[in-house]
Amino acid sequence: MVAAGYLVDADQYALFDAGRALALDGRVRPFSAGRGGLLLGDAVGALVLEAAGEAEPLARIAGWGRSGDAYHVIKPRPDGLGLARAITDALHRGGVAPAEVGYVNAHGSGTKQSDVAESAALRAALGEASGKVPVSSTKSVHGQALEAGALLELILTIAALGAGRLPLNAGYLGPDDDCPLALVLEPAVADLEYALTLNVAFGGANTALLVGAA
Amino acid sequence: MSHTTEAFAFVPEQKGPAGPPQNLPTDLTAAYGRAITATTPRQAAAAGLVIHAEAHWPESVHDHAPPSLPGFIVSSFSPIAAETAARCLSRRPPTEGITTSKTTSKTTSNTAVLIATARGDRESAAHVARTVADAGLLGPLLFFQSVPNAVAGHIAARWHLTGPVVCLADPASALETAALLIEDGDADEVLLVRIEQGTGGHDQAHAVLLGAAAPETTGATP
Repeated sequence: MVAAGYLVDADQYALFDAGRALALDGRVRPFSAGRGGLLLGDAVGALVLEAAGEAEPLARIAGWGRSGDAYHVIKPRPDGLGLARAITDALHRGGVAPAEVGYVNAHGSGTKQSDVAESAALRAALGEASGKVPVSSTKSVHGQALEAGALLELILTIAALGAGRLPLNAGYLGPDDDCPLALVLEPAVADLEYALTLNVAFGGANTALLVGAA
Repeated sequence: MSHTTEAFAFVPEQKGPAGPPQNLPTDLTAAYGRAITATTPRQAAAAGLVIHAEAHWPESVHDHAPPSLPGFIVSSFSPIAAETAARCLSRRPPTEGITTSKTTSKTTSNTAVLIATARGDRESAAHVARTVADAGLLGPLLFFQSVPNAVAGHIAARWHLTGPVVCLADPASALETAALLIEDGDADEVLLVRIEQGTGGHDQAHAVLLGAAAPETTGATP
């Protein structure tokens, strides 16, 4: 059992406000022109991991990667190469080519620097496929759930695989030339075989999980 | 987020090269009580690992306060973690492709940074709680240091450690995590920093640089 939870509290809210990280317009707009930052959100999630066997799973963890930026206390590497290594490792472990990835649940915090760096990471790791694979940040809907964020987004990625529907990248106002991604801007269905879910954190911590359909 | 990378290019003063002690000096042990440990050589061996270097905070009666760490305020947590990590890494044995020389510090290594702390940065948390309760305003620097990942990022950037960055609230699982990072190939080495504030009335830290044991040394009993 893997479980995580975070409920917005006054101290964390004050810290993010002090860091000027919150979206003043009250909307999270990942990868969009005019994005202004993040919003905190509540989340609690749990899932059961078990070795592959006879039980019919909801999905498979097909690959994983984790890396460090070795760049800054909190800022991501602008060229995204740290996160790109995590993505590449996940694909390599799964034996999956970039073109086989049908959906990316991005970290997509909605902050200027982080979204640009993540876009660069996807270009570096996926190459030409980065302009074609559907990408969305569900933080545009549920906000930044901090310690629970990665697990919540893994669960949503598994749900997307199971339902064959792509989560929206909400709050979009228009393109940002530094984020040339194929964003999910309208409800869409897809027959997904593999999806990636990405997360980054302070200290240059990067993770990529490759999830395969059951 | 006004701090640049250059602002964090600070190199803490090295107080070595003291030998890597297995425990606190006797006088400090008497003053501080039982020292916290990230792991011991026997525990590491049981996990298939070896300790290449280690360091403590404090190591002498002169360790009253850690060197200041630009960008970190209010609390000794991050400065002590950074100083203990610096001491440990400066004692790393010379290895091909890895150097601790300041003149060639651009050399990188696939070393993970693992911070293990049961209680975290208590001073910062208490300061934030008091300020919020009093309806005061927090400075932006407190946002930067709001999680232990921040000082892990400082250590990784300062020493060019490109392995995973991990923070654990359960120090007892740190060694297992370190072994898994190496076994999975996510890291060649792991810098494990165990740190607790206010242990016995004092702050303490223990940093170890862990690597895979040679095959003939694995499987030792704890």
